[in-house]
This record gives sequence, C-alpha cells and structure tokens, in this order.
Amino acid sequence: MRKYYRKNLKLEPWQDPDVTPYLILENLSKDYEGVPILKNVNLEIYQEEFFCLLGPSGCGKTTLLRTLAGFEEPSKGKIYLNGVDITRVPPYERPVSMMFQSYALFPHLTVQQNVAFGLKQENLTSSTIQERVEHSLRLVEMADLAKRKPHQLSGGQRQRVALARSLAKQPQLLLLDEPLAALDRKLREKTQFELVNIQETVGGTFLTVTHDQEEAMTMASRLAVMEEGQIAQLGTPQEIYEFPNSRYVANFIGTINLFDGMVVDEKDDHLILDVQDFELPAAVSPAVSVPEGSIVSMALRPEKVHISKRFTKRDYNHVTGLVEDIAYLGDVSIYHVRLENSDKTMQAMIPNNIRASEGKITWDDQVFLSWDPSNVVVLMS
Amino acid sequence: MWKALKNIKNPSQTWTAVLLSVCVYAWVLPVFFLGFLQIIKVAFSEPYIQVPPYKDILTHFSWEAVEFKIYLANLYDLFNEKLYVYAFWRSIKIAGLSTFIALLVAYPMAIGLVMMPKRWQPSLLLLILLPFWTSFLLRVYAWIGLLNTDGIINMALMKIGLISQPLEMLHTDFAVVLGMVYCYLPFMLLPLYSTLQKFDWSLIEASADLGCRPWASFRQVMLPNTLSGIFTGCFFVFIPALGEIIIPILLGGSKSVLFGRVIWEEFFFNRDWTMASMLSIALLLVLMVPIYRAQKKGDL
Repeated sequence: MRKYYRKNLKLEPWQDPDVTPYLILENLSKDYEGVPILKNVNLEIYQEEFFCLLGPSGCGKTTLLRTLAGFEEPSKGKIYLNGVDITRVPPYERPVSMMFQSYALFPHLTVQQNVAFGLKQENLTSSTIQERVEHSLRLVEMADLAKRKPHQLSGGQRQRVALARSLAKQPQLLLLDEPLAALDRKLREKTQFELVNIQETVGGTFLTVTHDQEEAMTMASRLAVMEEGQIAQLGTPQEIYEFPNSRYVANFIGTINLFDGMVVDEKDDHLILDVQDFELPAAVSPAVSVPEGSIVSMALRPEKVHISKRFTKRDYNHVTGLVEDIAYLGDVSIYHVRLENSDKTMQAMIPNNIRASEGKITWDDQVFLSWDPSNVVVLMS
Repeated sequence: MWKALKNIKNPSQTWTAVLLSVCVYAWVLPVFFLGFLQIIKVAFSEPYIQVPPYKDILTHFSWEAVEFKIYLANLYDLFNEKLYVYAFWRSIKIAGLSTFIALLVAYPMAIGLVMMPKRWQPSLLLLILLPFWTSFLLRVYAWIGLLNTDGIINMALMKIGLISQPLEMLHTDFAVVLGMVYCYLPFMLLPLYSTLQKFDWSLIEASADLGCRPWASFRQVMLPNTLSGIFTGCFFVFIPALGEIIIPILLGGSKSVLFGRVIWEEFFFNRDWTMASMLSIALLLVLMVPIYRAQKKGDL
C-alpha cells in the first residue's frame, strides 16, 4: 500500500529543492577515549520521513541515535532540528523521544502510568493526559491491558507500550533503537508494517536504527548504510539494493555475487570486462564511464542470474559450473554453482513456481549461468 | 519453606533441601526458640532475692494438682512505669533518626560505588568495610577521643580559631546518633549497593528522555525501584540501633536513657531478671510488627 501511496506524490521531499530538511547533522563526530565512533557525519532528514540507519554492530549507528536523543555529547559538529541548534540541549528539554532497545519500561508503574509518565512532566491537565494516554494505547492496540505491570506483558506487548509511551509525548522526532530486535520473526514482520502505518497516522518523523536489512528495506522511506562511523550510502531502499556504490554496501544489503575484472574494451555503451573466473568476457553497462585498464568489481544479484541445464551459444556473460549446494527456502531455491574455471561459486536464485517439476536441476548437475548486462552493477570501491 | 519444597521436582534435591532445613531448625530451635520460651517464663515470674533471682512459675506439681503463679506486675509496669515508656519513645526517636541519617549517607555512597568501573568496585567496597574488622568497642571508644572537650575535633577547631570554647559533643544525643550512624553504616550500605547493582540505568535515560530533570528522575524512577534495598537497609540499622547499649553508655553518658540500656541496667544493676525479660519481649514484639508487614508485602 505504502509504495503506491508514495508514487502519487509529486516529488519526494529530498528531491524537492524548495523543501528544507527537518533534521540536519553537520560534521557530527564523536570520539570515545580517543577512538572515533562517528566521523564527520552529514545527514539531512525531512519531515514525515521514516528514515533508517542500517549497519552492523559497532558501526556507530546507536551512538548517532543517542547523540540525537542527548545522551551523548558530540565531540564536534552540530545538530539542527526544525532550524534550532539542539547540540547542547539536555535530553529532558529536547522535543525528541526515544524508544529503547530494551524498552526501558518503568517496572513499578502500570502500562497506563508508563505512558502517562512523560506527559506528567509537562504541565498538562489531567484530562489532557488521560486523553492522550488513551489515544496512544488505542493506537498500539494496548488499551485493554492498561492496568497491567510490564512484567505481566509479553515481549511484543512491551514493545507496544514503549512505542505508546514515546508517541504520547507527540515528539517532533521519534528515535527507535532496534525497535523490533527482541521480537520473533513472525511478529517482527507484522510489526514492521504496523510501525509504518502508525507513522503515517500520527505523521511524525521517525528515525530508526537496525542491523536487519530486511527491516530497513520494508519500513524506510530512505536509509543510510553506515560503515565504521561514516555513512557509506544514502538512498531509497530500491536505490541501495539495485545500485550499491561499494562492495561493502552490496555485501551488506542482501546476497550478491562479486567478481573482480579488468576493463578491456567499450562496445556500444557496454564495458567489456576480463574476469579471471569466467571462460567468456563479461559485458556490463555501468552508470559512469570507466577508463580502460582499470580493475573494477561486478556485482550481480542471485535473482538476476539465469540458470539452465541447456547450453546456449553466447559471446558474453556466460559461465559453466557444477551445482554444489541447493538451499531450498520454500518460495525460492538458491543454487550455489562452482564455476568451471575457478574456485569461486556463483549464486542463482530461482522461484519455485512449479512444484517438483521434471528435469529439475539437482546436485552435481552441469549448469550454464547467464545474465543481462544491465543487471550488473559496476563497483569502483 | 514447604511450598518451596513442593516445587522441587528432583527427589535427590528434595532430600538435600530437607537435610539442610533440618540443620537450620536443629540450630534455631534450642538456641533461639527454647531460649525465648525461657525468657517468657522469667518475664511472668515473681522477682525474689535468691539465685536465680525469681520464683518459678510452677509452685507445686503433684498427681493431684498443678499449681502455678503468673506474675503480672511486670506487664503492668511495662505500660505504666514512666521510665520505660520514656526510654522506649526516646529509643525509637534516636534509632529512627540514626537510620534516616545512615540512609542519607549510604545512598549517595552506593550510587557512587555502582557508577565506578566494575573492576574497582570490590576494592572500594573493601575500603569501606575495612574499619569494621576492628573491635566494635574499640571503634566506639575511638569516638570518645575525637569528641571529648579536649579531643581532636575540639582542639583542631580551636586551633583554626573557629571556636573559642570547646563544644560539648560527648555525652549528648548528637554523639549517640553519630556513633550509631558510624557503626551501622555498612548494614545500610550493603543492601543498597546490591539493589543498585541490579538497577537498570536505561530507566534513568528513559525518564530524562520523557522530560525528567535529574532530581525528578531520581525521585520518580530510581527511588521507587530501589525500595527493597532501602527497606532492608533500614531494618538492618533500625533493629540493632533500637536495642543498642554500648553506644549510649559510652557516648551518651548517664543522661542517655535508651531502651537497650534500661534492659541492661535492670538485669545487672537491679538484678531484676523478670523485668528485664519483660522489656526484652516488648522490644522483640515491637520489632516483629514492621518486619512481618514488610515480609508480607514482599519487600524483604
């Protein structure tokens, strides 16, 4: 639903030059005991975005989030929220709310009191508090359990209460630290969509941190892949999946086949690569021009590889190999094919749209792999 | 305890549990329970100048009749003798004040301890506990040397010129409370430390994020979540402080009439074992009420 809805918009905010970013991080750096955790992070996030910071553990994404919440002070750089410099504002005065990975629910308070806690710190009338608590709890479908204590709730219910508690504050920016990490797979998938729906209902700006690329791809309007305290790539999920800008990003997001080769020729906007692992040269169509003689990586998603037991004569993009492993995942199967001329394997993903078909490819079969030049991404770094 | 036994599935574990509890009861029954029965008996006996200084409750025992005499004058005195009532309320006041001050001192100490790097904590804790390896009596005596009119504190203050005449510190309630706080501080500190160690500090961050200034975070989140440690620490200080005799005798001087000291004096000076026993029972009952309540609430 969401994707169609977004298509109807004229321009995404980050494409519109008239829209000013809502949250601006300017040269943000953070050292911890001399070790740099964040290195000159520059980031602009727009209002009502569902932005995702994605990266492996230790890449600095949580530190970045904690800096935004005010728990860590940056060593250098500035944070602007809605045009206001909040770099030195203490956490209790920031119009920012955080949902903790551990949820950090107050064990001595009921669900209702937990949600009301933040509102009681502001000078609100009790009827306003009551109203907003009820609204938040209804939003996360926890109104029935308002009288329970956190220890009487399941992990999924606690997650909802934590979300309701943050939402009740009506923050200008909601930070979510691994919001779904503690949930089991089924619940996580369901909650991903719920989070997006809630964000569309309340209309706030959400910034979430995760190490799970699937989660990031599902929820985010845009995402930033982080590597060692820096942003490796910034873009929509589709941009990052289809056009990763480095080996790191390509490897981090999904599975990808990576081969190194040398540019030997350029033929009608195709580059011809000489790849040691292939018997035939590879033809690719890069986005930028690459000088002859340079070494590049070609990245190829498994679902874009065609696998067949029949040999077809081709000039490019064709390798022979033996099926070494098959991962049957139900909806798809992933074939690990050991290439004939090298010790490397290439993965090919085939949808299982026919049940137990005749002449199925199986272990130790000789197979021929081919792909379209436009499906290859050329990586320079 | 039997409920706990029922929950154990493994039979060999059950036998271990039974054996262990038998050991516990084998100790508690004769040493505490039978001893306490004896005290109850003495409390309701008539005082008499002999050895031991009371008449047995059982005056006559034969196959025809059992005669016994329950002496109630002590019970009456307990509530009507001005000295006892006065000493009781004063003890409550002094012990309560000492407990409160110990809490005020120990809580920040415990917070400081748990905020230290993990590897330093055992050594720092040891540093606090080290003085308590010396004799209790010796430590109280040391305070006399500090608090005396010609003691170290007065001398130092006069040297700097802050005071011209020595302060009367020894033999005051101030000295008694000071001594109690000093002596019982570890009993407050240790439960607080162990509770605070388990405290989830992300709750403080969460409360700050929700708009709490540091003091509000402390009051609304940290305090309610460390209540069990506070209760335990307060009991551990209040209970011995209420019956304390050495500190009031040494630091409080002759005017300091506290309940523990009254018991001691009844026993040793007046040789009235029966009244001393009655007072002991009263003290025990008074202490049992809050402990029982706290246990029911699950704080201990």
